[in-house]
Amino acid sequence: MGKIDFSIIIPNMNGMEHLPDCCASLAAADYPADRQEWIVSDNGSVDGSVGWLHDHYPRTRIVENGRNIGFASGCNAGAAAARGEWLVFLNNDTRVHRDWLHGYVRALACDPQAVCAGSYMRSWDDSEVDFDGAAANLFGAGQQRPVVGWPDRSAPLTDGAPILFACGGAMCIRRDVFAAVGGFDPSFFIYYEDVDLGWRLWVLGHRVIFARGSVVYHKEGGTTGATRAPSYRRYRLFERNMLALIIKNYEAAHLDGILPAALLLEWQRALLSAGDTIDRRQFGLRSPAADQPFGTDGLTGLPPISLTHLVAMHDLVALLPELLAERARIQAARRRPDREIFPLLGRPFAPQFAGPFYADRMRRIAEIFDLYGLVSDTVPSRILLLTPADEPTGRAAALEHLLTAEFQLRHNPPIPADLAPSADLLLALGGAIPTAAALNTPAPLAADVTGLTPTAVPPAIHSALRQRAGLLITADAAAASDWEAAFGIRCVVQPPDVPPLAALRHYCRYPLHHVKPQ
Amino acid sequence: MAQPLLPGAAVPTVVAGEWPTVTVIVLNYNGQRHLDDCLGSLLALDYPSAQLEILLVDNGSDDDSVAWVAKHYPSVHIHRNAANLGFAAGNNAGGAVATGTWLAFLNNDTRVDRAWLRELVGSVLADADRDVVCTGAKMLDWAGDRLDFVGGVMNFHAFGYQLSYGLPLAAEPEEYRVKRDLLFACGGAMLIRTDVFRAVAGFDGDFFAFFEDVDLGWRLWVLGYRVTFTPTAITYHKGHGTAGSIPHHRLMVLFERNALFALYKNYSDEWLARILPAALLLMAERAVRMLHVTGVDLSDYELTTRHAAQQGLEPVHPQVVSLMLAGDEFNAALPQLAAKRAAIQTARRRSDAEIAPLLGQPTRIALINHAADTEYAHAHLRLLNSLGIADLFTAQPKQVLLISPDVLPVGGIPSSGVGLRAWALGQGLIGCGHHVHFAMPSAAIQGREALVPAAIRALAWNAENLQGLVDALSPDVIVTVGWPNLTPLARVPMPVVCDLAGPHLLERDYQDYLDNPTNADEKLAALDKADFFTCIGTRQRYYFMPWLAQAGIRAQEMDAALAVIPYSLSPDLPDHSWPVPSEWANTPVTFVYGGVFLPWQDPSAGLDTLANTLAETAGGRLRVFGGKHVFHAVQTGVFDALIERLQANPQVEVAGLMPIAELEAAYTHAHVAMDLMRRNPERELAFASRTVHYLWCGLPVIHSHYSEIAPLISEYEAGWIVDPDDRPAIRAVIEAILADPAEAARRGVNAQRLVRERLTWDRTIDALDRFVRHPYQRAGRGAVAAHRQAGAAGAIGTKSQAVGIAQHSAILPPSFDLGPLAAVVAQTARQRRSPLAQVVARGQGVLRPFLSGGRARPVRVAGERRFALDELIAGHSIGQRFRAKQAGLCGIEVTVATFARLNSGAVTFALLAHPGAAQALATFTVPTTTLPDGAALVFRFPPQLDSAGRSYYLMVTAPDAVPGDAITLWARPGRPGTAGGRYEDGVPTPGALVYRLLYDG
Repeated sequence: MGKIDFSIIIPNMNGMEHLPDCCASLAAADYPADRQEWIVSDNGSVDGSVGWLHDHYPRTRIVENGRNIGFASGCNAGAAAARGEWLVFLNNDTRVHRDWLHGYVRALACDPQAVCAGSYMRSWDDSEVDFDGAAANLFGAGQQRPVVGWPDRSAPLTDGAPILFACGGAMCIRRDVFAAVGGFDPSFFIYYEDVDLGWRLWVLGHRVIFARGSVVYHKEGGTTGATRAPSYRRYRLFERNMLALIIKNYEAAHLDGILPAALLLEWQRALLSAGDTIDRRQFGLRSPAADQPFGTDGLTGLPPISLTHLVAMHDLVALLPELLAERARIQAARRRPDREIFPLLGRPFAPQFAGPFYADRMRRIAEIFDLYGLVSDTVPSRILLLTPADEPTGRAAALEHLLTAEFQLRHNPPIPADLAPSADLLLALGGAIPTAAALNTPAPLAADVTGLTPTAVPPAIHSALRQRAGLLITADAAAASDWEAAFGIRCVVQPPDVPPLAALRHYCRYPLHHVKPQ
Repeated sequence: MAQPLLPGAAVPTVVAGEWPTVTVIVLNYNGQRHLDDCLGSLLALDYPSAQLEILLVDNGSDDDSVAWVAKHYPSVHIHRNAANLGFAAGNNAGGAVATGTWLAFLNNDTRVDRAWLRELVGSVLADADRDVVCTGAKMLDWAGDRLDFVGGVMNFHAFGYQLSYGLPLAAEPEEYRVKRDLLFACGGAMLIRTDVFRAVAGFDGDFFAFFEDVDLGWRLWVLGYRVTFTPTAITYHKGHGTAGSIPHHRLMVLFERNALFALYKNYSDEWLARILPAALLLMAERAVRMLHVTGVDLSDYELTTRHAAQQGLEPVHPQVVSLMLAGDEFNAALPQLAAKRAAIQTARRRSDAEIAPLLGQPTRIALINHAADTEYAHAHLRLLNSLGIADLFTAQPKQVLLISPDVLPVGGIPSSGVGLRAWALGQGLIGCGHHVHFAMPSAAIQGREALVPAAIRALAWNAENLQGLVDALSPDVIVTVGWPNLTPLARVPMPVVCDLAGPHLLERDYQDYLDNPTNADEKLAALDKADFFTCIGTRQRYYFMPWLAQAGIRAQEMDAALAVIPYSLSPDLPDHSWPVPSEWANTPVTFVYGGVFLPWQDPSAGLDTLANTLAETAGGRLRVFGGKHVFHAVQTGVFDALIERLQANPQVEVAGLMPIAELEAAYTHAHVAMDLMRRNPERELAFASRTVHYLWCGLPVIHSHYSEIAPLISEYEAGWIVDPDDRPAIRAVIEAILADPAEAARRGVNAQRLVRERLTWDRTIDALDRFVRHPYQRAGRGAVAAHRQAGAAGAIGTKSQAVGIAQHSAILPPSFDLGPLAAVVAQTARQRRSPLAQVVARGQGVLRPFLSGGRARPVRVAGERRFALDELIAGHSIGQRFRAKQAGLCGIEVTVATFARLNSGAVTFALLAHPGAAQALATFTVPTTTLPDGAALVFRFPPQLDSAGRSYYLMVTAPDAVPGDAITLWARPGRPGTAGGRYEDGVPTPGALVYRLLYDG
């Protein structure tokens, strides 16, 4: 038998409906059949998948796990049976472009040190992107999209670009490295095991890259869709695994700040997920006691999606001893400092819960645990500069010019929809303050209010400032205290033609809502 | 006015001008009814009045407190807060306007002893050079016979609590009677220097109430000051009534949040980084525990479950929401907390490690009545150990409950080997710095109560009360000598050490115990509850290994789980008196034999040979000290016949068992111990305590050749090793000794050398100390029980019972039977099911003075005023006299108050002819575990046919209830001076119980 380049490992559980398309595309791929092997790692399918594979693709090796041992362990079991130089993990609800393996080869040639490459994943009908690069926040919430559209990432990622992690749905990794780093963490069961693996590879001194030329089409949440498990069951694993991966991968000095912050935010998400099912008046000391505040059984109702956050923390405690043992091994073998990994996160302060309230809580907690200080040297704030005209002039131009030296900027009066989610701060200059309705991002707002008076702010803008502004700037020294009094937030005096005050720069690094004057 | 109960050092004569000025601040909210007692006692203080300002800080009362004080106590200054600012900010407002150089904070539901303030001030002035700026007064209950505050401590996640709260004063340990350093003084009665109070920003107003005193004391220590306890300053505190004035789900927000506040502010960066994550994860554990309690099925949250997804809301206990809100309020307060933290940490003058000893029991699991189940305890210990928190506290001694199955060597009661074993393990741990609470069987103490120290008497245990003792004490570690002590314990959430003591099953064989399968079952069930095991010798280790394997301990874990601690005694060996060589001629060689007569022991060959030899040579004597076990019904085997033979021998003197001190006096004046026993399996495995005791006393032993310790005795030449069946050899040894008694003296010196080098408890305790210092729960603990439960599933009766069991399974003892209870609990229409959470009944009392204006405000039920009585705890009784109107009295219905928590234990109802009756007409005991708050409980008894016109007495007791785990009954207030027939502790008291009589037909 000749050398096998790629061992293609397909974890499968009752995937009969997907396998014909997937296998057909693999068979049609443009790569020598004798230089690849196919391994289906079957998690106890009862839908005839295994028999079908025997009949139609008899060369496929089947690893029968007998039961659902999870995605992570399923992949590991397949890897243990593999003989190729590279392992390729492929979801069963995909079809591959015929050039996909060559795509890996080309990308890996760009970066000889890379040991892992992620495919470019698109939706089944090729209309949307599924994975074209990775990002994550400091708390381990990985995302399948990189930050694009900013000066530092103006274009989509190219072949060989470094990424934090490759999507477990379609990726390749050197078999020896996979074994040496311990593979996917079986305790994750499913979800975020790919983020954890990528992160760990970087910590251990390896590199993970994007293979734009390796195109894989992925069904609309194939193992998901109509059969998708309800969110409260998935979030139990999401939440636990995010905490688990930060516990494993950060340096001790960083974990000291990040872990308590992550747990406080976990509690916050638990509460916010309960929505309006909680009547806070029943829990305050001074609010009147209702005769029978809860049901006749003395119980109150909470949605499972809220409780699942608590269960996730409980699960984490159960897992903690082995996580910490794993952490000890990883940190002892560390080859790259966190500060070299932070830039790969892309969006360290992306909120992982909708709405400005959570974003605000997260930023405050991040500030208090000095997490901005942790990453600000390595990850710049993304400031969306709002100016009245396409080409700012005068004062706005001067401010932009002065800030450009430190931060990435964009300017456009309406907030561009593609940039909004990844903005860390809105900086409205020259009166280009968005209305409350136009605030399509949870980012806080700093606004130059020169030319306005506190008493004569249009209602829609007044409401935006109330909701979102954390810093006001004015050239009019006399008006500053009036602004502070009217809005309860800090107003710094920024005379024309003078470099920005330290306060503005500081705010750009530590953007928070409603910073009240001390 | 009661006199101080505990006379302190002589107080200097009061001379005006020598005492500093003090402002006593009494915070009041609608507490007018308390103020006469409180202010009256303050005006009676023997403190120079010119130096004393009494300041009533009113938190916006809407009763007429302020006008009443102005009228009746015109000398009292009044400061009015516009609204109820809470405890912390309310007191701070007083601190800001006070004129005294010292501030004394006093709850309004107290009265103080006449010398209260002089004691407090004298105490701090005496310590001024030690940076003491604050001291806490001793607080007793209103009657002065139970402890309220004798010291404040907390566990690592800042759940503060009061040491020995509710303990009868009579059982008070000596340490509470001396001045000592404290982490914090109770905000209810304390003294603090005004300038310091203001400089450190006083109580933290963000707390509103609860733990602000913990935070203040802790902060003082961090900033380099000291806080003390002044035991001679006595405060009487009304404390908690019950009544649902503040539902516990509201209180819990404050407790949980404020603990986070305090720990976030006060720990150093390094400690906080380990402790804050653990605190937040333990909150989640408490939340999940509440989910279990209300029957939330976590398997529905499994990704792989095949159940249909839930669409609606999950019914959960309100406390789950309390925990979420505590987290939310902490997050909301974080910016100002961070500023406070920065100020404190910048000014830090003392390390956390220096403060740690003040925490008391930093790793304690169950707190503020938050009953811990085993799963919670697992999580607690896992976090402690995995996050390195245990390491922060390993230097701190642990609180250990040592459960002895037999007599301890105290109070002059003859001890057994097992009791001495327990004592030795405990003393070894004490030598390592741990606090050991010794518990011995109540049967062993019976009739000798006065001889036994109060601390041990208070822990006298039996199968019925042991669980209550464990729950109340909540030690860090339990050490039990012998596995059978674990059988009565349903809940042992803390790590447990089981000293296997002896091969038990073999001993039972000699008692014709034929039910070995049951014994084995019980033994496995007991081993299943323990985490670490010790035994006495290597042979026992091999014997126990397969037992432990069956209890789920894997072979790979055996070395770590099972340690050998030989039978050991004190390192202070007694002096043995030996005749000088020339005196031997006039000294009969004295042989001894001592110990309990047990059926598996047969010393006949040795003793008969010895007695016969002595009779023949008339050259020495034999003293036998022994008898039947003090309280166990154990047979005496061959001993009766043996003793009869020996008593016939003129060279033999037979005495009974005697107290350890007398026995040791006899041993140290004797010369040789006859220590031969017929070989049998039990003896082969034994490492006999009596042998070590002989050696320890300086007696060389004639010892059996098969025993485990025989080689050691040979090596040290500490005796003579012979085959106990070889009578000629025995005789040869005896004759040699009689011929050359100086050789016995030489070997006696060796005996003590052997003990000193190998068998003193300071040398042998290491393995146990290591576990106690760093306790854990082993992974497989509970596996046997789980397996058996799984096997027994389906045996549960009716559906409603099954639901009940499922809902309570986290807390109920497994054998709990709902059947009889269901029959007697008639739930009233308005009754809502009591939340099962353990809540701080005590907390309600703390808050009440400034929230609802005092104790147990009566509530209106169906137009009638009612209030709940104080907790019904051991040693107390609630009674009601009544006259039956008709014949056929067959039941009494009373209304239960549970303090809105789950209580354990039982309550007993007795129907008597009158309060002094010696015999009850009927009794009834009901478990309190599932009694709902406000439930009507029916006590049924056979119809009293002649009841018409007769009077009776209902007496209710709870012999095993402790504060925080007790129910009570509802009562109707009475007009002062009129008797409603209600009794407290047998004394007529105004008002009446809420009760109803039931008649047959």
